[in-house]
Amino acid sequence: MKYQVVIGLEMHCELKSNSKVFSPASNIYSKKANININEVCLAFPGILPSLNYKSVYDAIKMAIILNCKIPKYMIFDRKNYFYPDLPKGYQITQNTHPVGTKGNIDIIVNGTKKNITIQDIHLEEDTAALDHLEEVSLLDYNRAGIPLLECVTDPCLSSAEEAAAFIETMIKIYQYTGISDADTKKGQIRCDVNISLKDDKDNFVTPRVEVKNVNSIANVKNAIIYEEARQIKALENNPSSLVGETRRYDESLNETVFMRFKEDDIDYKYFIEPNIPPFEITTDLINEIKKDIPVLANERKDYYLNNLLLDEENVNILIKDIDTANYFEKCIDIGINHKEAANWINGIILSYLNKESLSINEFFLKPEYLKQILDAMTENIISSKQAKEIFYKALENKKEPKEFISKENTQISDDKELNDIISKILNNSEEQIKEYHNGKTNLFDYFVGQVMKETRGKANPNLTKDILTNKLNKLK
Amino acid sequence: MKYLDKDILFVFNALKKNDISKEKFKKEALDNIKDTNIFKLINDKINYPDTDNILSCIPYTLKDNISTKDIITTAGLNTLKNYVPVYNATCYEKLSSKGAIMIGKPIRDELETSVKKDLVSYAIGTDTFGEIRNTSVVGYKPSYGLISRYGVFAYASSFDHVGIYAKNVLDATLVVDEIKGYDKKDMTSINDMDDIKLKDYLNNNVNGKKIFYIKELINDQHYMKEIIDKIKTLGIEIYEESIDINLLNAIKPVHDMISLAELSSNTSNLTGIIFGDANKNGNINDMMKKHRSESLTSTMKRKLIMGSYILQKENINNYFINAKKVRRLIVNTFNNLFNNYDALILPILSNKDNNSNNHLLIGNLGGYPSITVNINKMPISVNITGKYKEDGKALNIASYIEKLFNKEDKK
Repeated sequence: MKYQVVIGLEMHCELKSNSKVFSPASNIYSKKANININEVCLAFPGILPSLNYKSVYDAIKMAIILNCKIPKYMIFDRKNYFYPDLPKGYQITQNTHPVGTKGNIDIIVNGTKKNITIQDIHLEEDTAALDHLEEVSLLDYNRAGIPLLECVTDPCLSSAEEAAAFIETMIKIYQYTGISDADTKKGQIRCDVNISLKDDKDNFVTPRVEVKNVNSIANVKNAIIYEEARQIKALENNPSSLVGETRRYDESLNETVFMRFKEDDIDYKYFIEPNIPPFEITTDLINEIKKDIPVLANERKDYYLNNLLLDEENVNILIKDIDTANYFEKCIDIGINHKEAANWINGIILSYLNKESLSINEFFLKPEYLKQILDAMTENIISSKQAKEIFYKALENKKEPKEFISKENTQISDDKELNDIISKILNNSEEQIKEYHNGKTNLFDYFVGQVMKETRGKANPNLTKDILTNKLNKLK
Repeated sequence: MKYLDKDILFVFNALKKNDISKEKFKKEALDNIKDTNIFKLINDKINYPDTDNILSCIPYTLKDNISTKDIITTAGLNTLKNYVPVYNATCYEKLSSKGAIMIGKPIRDELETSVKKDLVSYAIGTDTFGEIRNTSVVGYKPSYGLISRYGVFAYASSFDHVGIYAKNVLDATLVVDEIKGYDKKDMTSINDMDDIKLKDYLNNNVNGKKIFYIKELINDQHYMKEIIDKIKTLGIEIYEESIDINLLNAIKPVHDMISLAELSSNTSNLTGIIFGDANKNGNINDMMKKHRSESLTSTMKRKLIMGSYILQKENINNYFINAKKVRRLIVNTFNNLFNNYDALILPILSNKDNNSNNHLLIGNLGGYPSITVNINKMPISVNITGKYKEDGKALNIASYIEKLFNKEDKK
C-alpha cells in the first residue's frame, strides 16, 4: 500500500517591535539573560497588560497578506495552564476571534505553484525561554512577552519539501514587510508540525501526531521524514501502537521522541481577557495598512523571470532580501540595463558586501554612482577592467566614481597613438611573429598582452585587436 | 485640639494657616496609631514630598492588596507573606507624589475602622463584592476604570475597583479627584474624564432630580419608606420600579461564576517560582504543586477548584458563558433605567454576614458609580448608584442626602 503523508503547520514567528506585546519592556534580542524585563514580564501581583499597537498593526498586515478574513474587533483570550516558563499562569492569545481566518498563500515547490490554505493567524505573547541543564533549569524572561504571530495551516502540505517551501515563503514575507527578522538562528521561528498518513482512497489511516517546537527548516524536514517513516513502519507492523500523541524532535538523534498522549492534552480553559477592551479594526485602518504593504518576493520573482527574462539563479539572489531587490529595481529605474545591473549586483557588489559584512543599505555606491561607471564603460571611456578599479577606488575613497573617470584613466582609443605603440612592439618581436605565422595563433594574446603592458591596461581592447590583426596580416 | 476627626478641607486650611505645623500634625497622626495596635504601622521611613496639594500631609491607610514598592504587600495570602513589591500601583504613586502620607496597610475591616475611629482621614480600598459600600462610614466606588487598577492585586478583573472609605461625601470626592484619570498601564481605565472635577458637581441643584428604588428590594423594610419621604423634601422625585425577581436573584450567582473563574486564572501566578518562597528543589512542576498545596488556604483552594470547574471545556458554556449573558441582561436592564433616572437608591443593612446586601453587586456588574452614606444614629445606610461615568450626578445626590440627615442629627 502506498501512503501519503499529510502535514499541517503551526508556525510561530517573533515580531520586531520596540517593546513587548503587552508591556513597555524592551524587545531587543539579547544574549544576556533577564535584562529586558519588568514587573509585567514577571507577572508580579497587580500587573495589567497594555497592548502594543505596532504588533496589532503588523498582525493585521500579515492577515491581509495571507488573504484572511479579518474580524471587526481585535479580541484576546487567556489560555490557562501551569508551566514554569509562563509567569502569569496563562498566556494572552487569540482563540475565539483570531486576527485572520480562512486565508491562503501560494508557494512554489520545484517550479510548481501550490496554494496553501490557512486556518487562522493570531497574535499572542511568547513564553520565557527554559533551558534544562543536568542539575538545574534556567529561565530567561527576556523572551516572555515578545509579540508572536502563530499561523496555522490546514493539513494540506504533502511533503517535507512543501513544508519547507511554505516556511521559506512565510519567512520571506516577514522579512520583506519588516514585521520580523524571522531569524531561525535567534529562535525567532518555531514550528509545531502535525503529521499523519492517508491511504490511496484519501482516508486518514494514522492519528495526528504533533511534533512540538521545531526550530529550523532543516529540522522540520527531518522531523517529517522521520515521522512519516515511523508511522508507515508502525502501520505495517503494529497498527495498534498508533495513537494521537505529542512528540518532540531530538536534533542529536534525528528522531522524534514521545512526550505525551493527545488524550492527556491540557484543557486550556480559554476565556476572553477581561483587561483588554476590544480594539476595533476599521475599514480605514485596513486600507491604511494595505498601502503599507510592499511588493513581495513572489511577485517580484514572477516579474524578473517573465518580464525581464532573467535566469532563475540570478533572480533568486536578487529577491533574497527586499533591499537588494529594491536596489536592483532602482538601477533599472534610472536607466541601467537590467541584465547588466543583475550581473553587477550578483557579482562584484554582493561579494564586496559579503567580504565587508555590510548590508546593501550601507553600501556607498548608490545606483546613481554605479550608473556613472556603467555609462563610462558603455561609452568606451573605460575598459571593464578599469571599471572594476574605479568601483573599488570610489568605495575606498568614499567618492563619486566620476572623479576617477578622468583623462589619465581613459582608454587609448586614438588610432594613431595605438598604431605607433603596436608598431614599436612588433618591431621588437620578430621571433614571436615568425612562430605566429607558423601556426602558433594563440600568440595573438601575447601581443595583446604586450600592448596592455605598454599602456598599463588603457588600450582600447577592440581597437587593439583590429590594428594587431591588420598589421600581422601585412607582415605575412 | 484634635484634627484627625475633622474633614480634609478643615485640616488643609489649618495646615495652610499654620494653626498646626505639619510636623506636629504628622506626629499626632502617628502617635494616634501607636496606641491602638489596630494595624501594623508602616515603620519604614518614607519621605513623601511636601506639596500644595489638598492631600499633602494628610494620613491615610491603603489596603494590603495594592502594590507599594519596597513595602511588604501580602493581600492576606500566605504565599505572599514576605512579598515586597518592586513597583507602585498607579493610585499609590499618585497619592505619594502629592504628599499624602500612607501610614498603614491593613486588611479590609481594619481599613474601615481606621476611618471610623479617626485614625486617618480616609482609606483606599478595593471593591469587588460591594465591600467598600457595605459600610457604616461613607464608601465610594467610582465608575469602573475611573481609578486605574494597575498595581491592584487582581481578584476578579471585571469586577475589581479601587474605592474610598471616608468621613463624608466631600472627602471621598476630593480624594478621587486626585487619583482618578486615564492610565496607559490600565487599558480599561476611562480616557475622557480627566478634565472633570467631581467636586464641582456636589453643590448642583438636586431639585427635580429623579431617582428610583426597586420595589422587590425594600418590600419589608419600612424604614426605607421613611427615608424616601425625607429625601423627597429635597425636591428629588422618587419612583418605584419593579424588576423581575429572577433577574435580581441571578445577581449573586452570576457574580460568583464570573469572579470565581477570573480568580482561578488571576491567581495562577502564585507558584512560588518568581516570587514567594517555593522550595526550589526537585522537579519544577512538583515545586509549583507543592507550593500551592501548602500555601493556599482551603477556602481559597475551594474557590479555585470551582473557578477552574466553571471554565472547563465541558462546563464553560453552561456556567461561564451563560453567566456572562445574564450579566449583560442585568446590565442592560439597569442601563435602560439609568436612561430615565438620575440614580438608584438602595438600602444597606449593617449586618454584614449574610447576603442581605447582595444588590450592591449591581455596581460591580455594571461598573456603576456607587456611594454609600450612613443615616445617622441608625443601623442603616443608603446607597446611591448612578449611570456609568456619571459619578458627579450620583455624588451630588448622595451629598445632599448626607447633609439632610446630618442636619437633623445636629438639632
